[in-house]
Amino acid sequence: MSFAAPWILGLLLLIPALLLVARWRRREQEQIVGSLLIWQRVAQNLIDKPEERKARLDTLMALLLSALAALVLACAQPLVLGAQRTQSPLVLWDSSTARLLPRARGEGMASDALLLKEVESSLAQGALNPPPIDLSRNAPPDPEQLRRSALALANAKPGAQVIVVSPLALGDLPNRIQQVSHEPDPQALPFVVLSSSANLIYAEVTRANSSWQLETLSGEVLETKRARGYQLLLALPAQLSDSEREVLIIRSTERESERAYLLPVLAAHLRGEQVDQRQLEVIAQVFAPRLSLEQSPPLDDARPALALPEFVLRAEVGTIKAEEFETRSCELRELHADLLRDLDETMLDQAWLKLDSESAFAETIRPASFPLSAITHALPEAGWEKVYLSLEGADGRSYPLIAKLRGAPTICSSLGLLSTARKQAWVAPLVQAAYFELCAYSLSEGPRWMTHLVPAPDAQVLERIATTAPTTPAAGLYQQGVINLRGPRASSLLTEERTLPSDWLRSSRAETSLELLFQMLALALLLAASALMLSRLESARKSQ
Amino acid sequence: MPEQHDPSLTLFPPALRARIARVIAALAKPVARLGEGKLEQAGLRGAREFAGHAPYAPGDDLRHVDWAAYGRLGKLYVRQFERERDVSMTIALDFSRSMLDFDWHAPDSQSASKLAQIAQIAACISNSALLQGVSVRLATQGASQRFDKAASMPALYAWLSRAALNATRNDHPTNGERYLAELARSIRQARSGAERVLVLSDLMEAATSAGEFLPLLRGGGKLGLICVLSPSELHPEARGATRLISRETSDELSLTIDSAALTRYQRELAKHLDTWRELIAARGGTLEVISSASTLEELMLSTLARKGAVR
Repeated sequence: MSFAAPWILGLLLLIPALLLVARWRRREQEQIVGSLLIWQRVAQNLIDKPEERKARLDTLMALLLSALAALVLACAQPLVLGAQRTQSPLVLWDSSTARLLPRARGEGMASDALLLKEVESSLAQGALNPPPIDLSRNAPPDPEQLRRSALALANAKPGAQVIVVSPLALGDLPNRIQQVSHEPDPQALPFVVLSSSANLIYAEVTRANSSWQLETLSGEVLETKRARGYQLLLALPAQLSDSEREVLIIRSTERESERAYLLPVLAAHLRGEQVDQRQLEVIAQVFAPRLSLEQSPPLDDARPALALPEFVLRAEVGTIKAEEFETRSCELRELHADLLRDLDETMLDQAWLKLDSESAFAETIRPASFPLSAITHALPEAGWEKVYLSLEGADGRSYPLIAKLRGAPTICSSLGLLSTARKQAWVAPLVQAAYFELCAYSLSEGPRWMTHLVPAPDAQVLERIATTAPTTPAAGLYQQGVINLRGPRASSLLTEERTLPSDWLRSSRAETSLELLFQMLALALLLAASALMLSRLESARKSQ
Repeated sequence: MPEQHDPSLTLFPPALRARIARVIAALAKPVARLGEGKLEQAGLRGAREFAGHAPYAPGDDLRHVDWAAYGRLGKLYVRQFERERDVSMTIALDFSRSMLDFDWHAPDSQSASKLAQIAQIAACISNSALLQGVSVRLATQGASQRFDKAASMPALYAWLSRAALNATRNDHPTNGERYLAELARSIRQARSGAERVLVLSDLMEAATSAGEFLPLLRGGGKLGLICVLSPSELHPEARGATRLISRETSDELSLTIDSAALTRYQRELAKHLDTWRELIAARGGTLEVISSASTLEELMLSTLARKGAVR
């Protein structure tokens, strides 16, 4: 047996001290009297005989000291390593490159390393011989594979405890398998990104704000009020114009009801999954007239000529230095306002795509002969590792979309607006593909630009890219499992750290019952001592 | 105790002797002022026997007029008394070890010695009796001395001091539980009966010892007991776990002296003294309990005189 808080055992030194004090107080004092005649009669007639009194006091003292000892032992949190601790705990952790992606508070793998140290110290806490931890097991980045691996590992080592270090939701696991993570369950994140091929909807729940904010593409805050999520959603149609209806940014406080109720339903609905009928009614009332997957044309059919005479979608290849990023960054609202103004004032009857780079694709491609969707094929084929997208207006101004890499929704919303204005549906996957490449760029360049990472591409897009452009670095990374981001789960990268559940260690200990045992023992001893003292008082009362 | 000093000066230092003299003088005043009747009432005069009648003459004490004879004979006669020639008093002193709490090496440091107290009481009463012509016998276990009216006070002090010192020097433990009985028996064997027997003791033995003193009384004499107890015996304090050591027998008793024990002690002490009191009351005896912390003046002029214990 060992103790989680062994220093508390120092209180046991109180016991001999108390014994000495009690002995000193109970020491006999000598007194010379003329005769013992009366005193002997007193001793004979006393109900409380000296020897009985001494025995009772000894018993009382023993009970109290035992209770004190039991309390001290209970406070020291005794640990009894059971059978499951006899073998080294096995740790499954995601050591893939994807864990190198930045988090709000540092890089994921470093966070996991800290967590592992915490787990290790927890296991070793109070143990005379802390069991070594087998860190040789790498968890696959896929939840299902990880779950299967954990179960297989637990079956292979019946006596060992399996600790899974991963934020992936693994569902119910046997008690012997403990999952820990400093990151929240991606499924329960306060940040939900909804996307579709035709329309982009961003429903973001931020912790900082205490009220809902409805933000349109123009950056205008339409609504700020304290309300339940569904009430705000019901209010949306009246607040939005037709041009704005397809791209929304909804910010709200962290509310369990919305996060866990409406938004996942909305996301599932937009993904075409089965959702609760009642919620569908709510969602339909708000969104269905405006947003539906069916309204989006198939990707293969979205090959219109891009009529953007005054804009150039520029894809540059080359090294983008940090200074450039900073220089080209601009305020999100300014960008949106400019775009909106330009779009409103210009008849976009002509468009051309200029693909300017240092590579073979430096020639200008006329949009009439080169659909934008071809970019998704052309870019990987060019072997570009770094992509820079920008919109160049007829006024000669360049709107560097990539400059807002830190505010990734800017790009999406901008291009989404573009697609909305032209009623085109093909831009979204293009942007997603671009983002995907940017993810790859970030992976190769390091995390410093990815303080606010973009949502992950849709699975279909990823698959498409992977299949149609298998040689692209990003696709390669995806196939290698480096990027294990799938749909909304990718947003886990954007969230802050989640602390280790405070009760994890306690619940994982079998020694909790031992603490309780000591506490109950102390209580029983105190009760016995109280009963003894009461009997003493009663006998004293009778003797009087 | 320093051998070269007179023990009587230790037990009865000059200052104390002066106090005793003042007490005796104070006791004698009311007697002289009130006449012989009061003397008899005070118990400091010998008992008187009826001698006959004599015709009343002016100046005779009207209290001696025999009014019954006047009723029968129509003439005034006064009763005449004759003083008994052999009036005596025996003072039995308990010098058992329970009483020997006097430190002969530091006599001034003690204020509540039972031994000193009974010696002073004995000296006072003896002195008063001797002044009234009553012979006094002082007796302890193993020592007895008769003093008549010609005896001097220094002789009285010397004998009391010597007896106390001898008792103190006796290292052999006495049979404390039967000391008074043995003392009465020794007095009886000496055939020194008296009209009045005064016992000065702490009475720390069975009350049956009182019966041993009764045969000493003759001619309707009375037995008086003065029980001298120290303050710690009268009102002991709670001391918790205590090992009591008997000065009498050197026995030990471990006891927790708490409130319950003290209550029981007071009850047992009162019961013990009541037993003594009842036994001697059957023969007209009296028992007074005093504290050794009381001053001699307070005892002789107030407590004992008021209660008639010195008669």
